[in-house]
This record gives sequence, structure tokens and C-alpha cells, in this order.
Amino acid sequence: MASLRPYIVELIRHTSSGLPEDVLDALAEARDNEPEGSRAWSTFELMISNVEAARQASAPICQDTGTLIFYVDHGPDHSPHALERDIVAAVREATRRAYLRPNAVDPITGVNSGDNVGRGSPYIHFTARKEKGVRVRLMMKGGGCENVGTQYSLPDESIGAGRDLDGIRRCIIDAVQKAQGFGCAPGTVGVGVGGDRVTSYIESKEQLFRPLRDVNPDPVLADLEEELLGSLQGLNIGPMGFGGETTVLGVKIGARHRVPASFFVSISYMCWAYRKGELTVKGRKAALDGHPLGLPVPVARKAASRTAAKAVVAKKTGAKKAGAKKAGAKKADAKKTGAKKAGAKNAGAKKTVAKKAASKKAVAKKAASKKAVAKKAVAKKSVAKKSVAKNAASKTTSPRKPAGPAVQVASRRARPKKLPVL
Amino acid sequence: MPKKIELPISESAIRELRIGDEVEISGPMVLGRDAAHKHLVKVHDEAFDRLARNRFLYHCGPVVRRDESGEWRFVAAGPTTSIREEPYEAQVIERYGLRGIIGKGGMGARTLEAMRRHGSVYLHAVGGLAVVLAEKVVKVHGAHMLDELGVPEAMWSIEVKDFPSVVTMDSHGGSLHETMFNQSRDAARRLMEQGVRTPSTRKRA
Repeated sequence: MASLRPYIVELIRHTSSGLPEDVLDALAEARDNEPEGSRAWSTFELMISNVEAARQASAPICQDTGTLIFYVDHGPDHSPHALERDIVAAVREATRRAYLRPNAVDPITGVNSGDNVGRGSPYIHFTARKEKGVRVRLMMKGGGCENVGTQYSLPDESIGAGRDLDGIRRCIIDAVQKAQGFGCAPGTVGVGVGGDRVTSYIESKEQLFRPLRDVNPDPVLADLEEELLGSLQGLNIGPMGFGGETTVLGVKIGARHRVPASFFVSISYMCWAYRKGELTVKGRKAALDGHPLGLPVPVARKAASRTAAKAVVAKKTGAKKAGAKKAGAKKADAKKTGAKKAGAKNAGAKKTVAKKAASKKAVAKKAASKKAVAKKAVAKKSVAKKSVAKNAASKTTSPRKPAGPAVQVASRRARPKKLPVL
Repeated sequence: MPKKIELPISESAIRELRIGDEVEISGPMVLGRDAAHKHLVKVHDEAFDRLARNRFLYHCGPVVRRDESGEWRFVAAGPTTSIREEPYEAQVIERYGLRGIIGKGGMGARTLEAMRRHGSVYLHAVGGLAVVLAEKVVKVHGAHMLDELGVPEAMWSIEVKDFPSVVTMDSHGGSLHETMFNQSRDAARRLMEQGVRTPSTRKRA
């Protein structure tokens, strides 16, 4: 697998310098709902023209390019270690190209790392999945709107919120009212109900990945979303708090089971500069927000470069890999026979109780243990591969090592014309 | 039509401005945000004083680029949330003779009082308008304390042309933010009392 770095740089550029189409449509609709020439109307007009200008210049639509959080779902063909390395390298490059503001400040020393890499930065959520390929989602949420994110623990007497739907509704109204002036309105509210303190907030941000005009699969939440999207406009906060018909662009609510003692309602407020993007890579196909990425590459060159790359890899890691594979296979074999034996034993024991049921169960168990063995073998293999990668990485510098003070380098900002073959 | 403002500006000219006035600012001004404010109240910074007196302070942490000739350019430069500087701003206005603060979201009672006393205004710029506003920055003179504070927090000395904003706090004690906040708070209370609509008749998708 080739490095995903250029694709992730492109994901960052794309996310930083534009808005999703549904958000742009919503802003245009909001503008059209205001009397032409009013302050609200001209504010929306400025917002839309800013997005166009940013897209053309590949410049960030907002100077606060936010905390970088990557949500990565990857299949067995992608190692988290390699993905992390590519993401960190991409973040450094995107900062050099001024797609990102250097936004990583050491909270203890107060020093800005200058390249967005530092303690726990960028932050990456990994989720393993069965299907091959990888999906990288990026949300760029600035500090202004992140600061107004809040978590209620119900009951909350100050707003009369009990542990029910009415209480949840009160929390959302309160949060939107208090966000004015800090998060740039009109915003979209992501709500996480239930869970623990951490997962509740995670749910609230996950909600912000939903398209603006979708319908919540839970009918009760769908109703609440629809009602609030209508009635919150009555707060008349308007664009940037200047007053106007549109105060929120969306309300998105998700729920997670909670423990009996806790009832959290977590609010993530996303400003109008609603930056999110999605890169998907499967086989040799990559797409950004569903649009194919990269230009076709001549076949001959493709083949040549691929075999060359393969040869290099083979030379470098061949010996180690082969060794690891053999060891892995041996272990897997040993486990298989072990599991079979155990299965037989189990079956034997159960025979004395009930013959028919036992034989059925034994078959099922055998199948299960075989699956488990196969899974373990895969895991072992990837561990072996990872350690090889680690060895290789440790020879160079650590990817997360924070750099010195900010030094901006002049660089080409235009979008790279050709992306390498995957 | 927006009023044209040229920096530096006199106290009497500032006192003529009222909340709701749309303005376009031209001339030299200085940037400063969280780390800068902390520093500015700790010491009297002479270099900052020269950049700030009778001018405006812009709450902004820009995205910048340096071209081959070593010249700085602003790529993205919208306002940041001002209320974080509330603990420092009254003192900064007084000590450095600032005639205006540009930011977003407005500020609190202490700043409003300092503005009334010293003849200063708060100007609200549109948040997230980073590229449009960066285009109004016609010249970047340099950055004070760049090494210590980093790119977003350094005190950048810039020249702007027709920078658009709205006066939302004036030197007579008026604050549009206060009015808007109270209005929306009352509306929010009424909305809360309406309660949840009748139970859903939707089918689970």
C-alpha cells in the first residue's frame, strides 16, 4: 500500500477551503429569507462570497482551522500505524502550505509547535472494520464554537430540565441561546444524549457528520429535531448575532444507553463555517466526498512503478516478513490442532448428557473455534507486519516529536495536479 | 453607506460613533489575542504602545505565508471571540490608549465602562470571513514577539484598506450585544415553557 499522505493533504485542503454543498445551500436559503439589503442579508452574502474566494485561492475559509480530529475506519489491508504516520506527515505538509494555521500550543510551556503536531495532536480515532479499504473523515471545528460546547447533567434545576425529552429540549435551547457571540451563528447543533461523559460528547460530534437534510431514524428524535429546527429560529439571533430569521442551520440528536445514575446531554455547536470532509480509499480508487480523486495514470508507468516499489519493499523487509509469516503460521497450526482437540473433548463430555444436542453444539463450536483461530492468525500477521514497520520508523525520527517555534516556508499552494498511484 | 474611518483617530471622532454604525477602516492597526493580552497587562510594552496608541486592536490569529522575498502575507484573517480578553481589556485600553477593539461576539461590562471613560469603541467583524478580510490587509509590516508567541498569537502590525465592520459597543455605554443577548434569553425562556410537541406518530425508519 502506497502512502496515503498526498490524499490526506488533499483532504485537508479540500476541507479547509470549502463547505459541503448542503451547508452552502442552507446559507443561500437563509440569505433569501432576509430582506434584501438588510444587515442579515449582506452578512450571509459576505459569508457565501468568502467561501467562493477561499475555494479559488485554496485558502482556509476561516483562519481558525481548529483542532484536528481524524476519524479513521480501516479494513485489514491498512495498518493503523502506517495511517497514523501518513496523517501526521500530511498535517505537517498542509501546515507548510498554509492550508492550516499552526494550532498546536503546549498547554504547559505555552509554546506553539509550529506544525500542528504535538502532545496528542493530531488526534486520531481508529475503528477497525471487516471490509477492505479505508475511510478518513475530518472535521475542522474552530475554538470559538468548540468553547461553547457544553454538557448538562440532568436534572438541571437552573433551566428546569428533568430526565426526559422535555429536559433534553431545554438543554438544547439553552445551549443555542448561550452560544451567541462565541460560536458564529447560524450554527448546527450536534447533541449526544446518554452515554458517559466521554461517549456522550463523541455522539454529539458524530451527529455533526450527518447531512443537514436527513431524517433521524428514531421517530421521537426526528420529531424533536424538526420542531427545534423551526422554533429555535424564534430566538432571532441571526447571522453573527445581528438578528435575523435564521439562528440554526440544523439540529442533530443521537442517543446512547446510560447508567441509571447518569443522564448527560452533550452539545457540540458547529459554526456556519461547517468544515467536514471524507476521503475513501478502496483498492486503487480514492474519492473525496464521493468525487473521484486523482488523474488516470498511463498503464505502462503504473506497472513499472508498482513492480519497482514492490521490489524495494521485498528487499527491505522480505527476510523479516518471511520469518514472521512462518512463525505465525506455525503458531496458528498449533492452535488449530489444539482447538480441534479441545472441541473433541468438549463433545465427548457432552455426549454423556445428551447425544443429539451435543453433536450439534460440537459442530457449532468447531466452526467457531476455527473462525477464532483464523482471526488470531490474521491478528498475529498484522502484529508481525507492524513490528517491521515500527523498526523501519524508529530508524528515522519519531513522527509525533514536536518541532521548534513556527517557521513559515514559502510553498506552492495550488492543488497538486497528479496524485501518485495507490 | 458605511462611514470611512482613517487611523490613527482622535477621541472626538470616536465619540461621534454610535452602535449600529457601519464603518470601513483604513490605516495601520495591530493584532493581539490571548497570549498578547496576558503579556500586555504584565508589563508596559513600549513597542506595542507605538503600534496601538490612537489606533485599533484586532482580535485575530491569522494564517500567514512568507513569499520568496521574505514578505509576509495574510492568507486568512477573520476575528476571534473577544470575550476571552474581558479580564484584561479595560486595562489594555487605558494603558495603551486604544481607540477601538475589533473582534467578534462583543465584550462585557468592564470593557464597556473603559470605552465610555477613555473614548473607545468595539467593532464587530463577521467571524469566519477569513479570506475576504485577509484581502483588506494591504501590507504586513511585521510581527512583534513572533518567536515567543507563535504565528497565531503574535502582535502583527498591519495596514488595512476599507476593512468592514459594525460598531456594536460605543463610548456612550451602548451595547448591541447586551440588547441581543437579553432579547434572545427571554425568547429562549418562552420557548422552553412551550414544552415537547405531541408524541410522535412516525414509524421507525
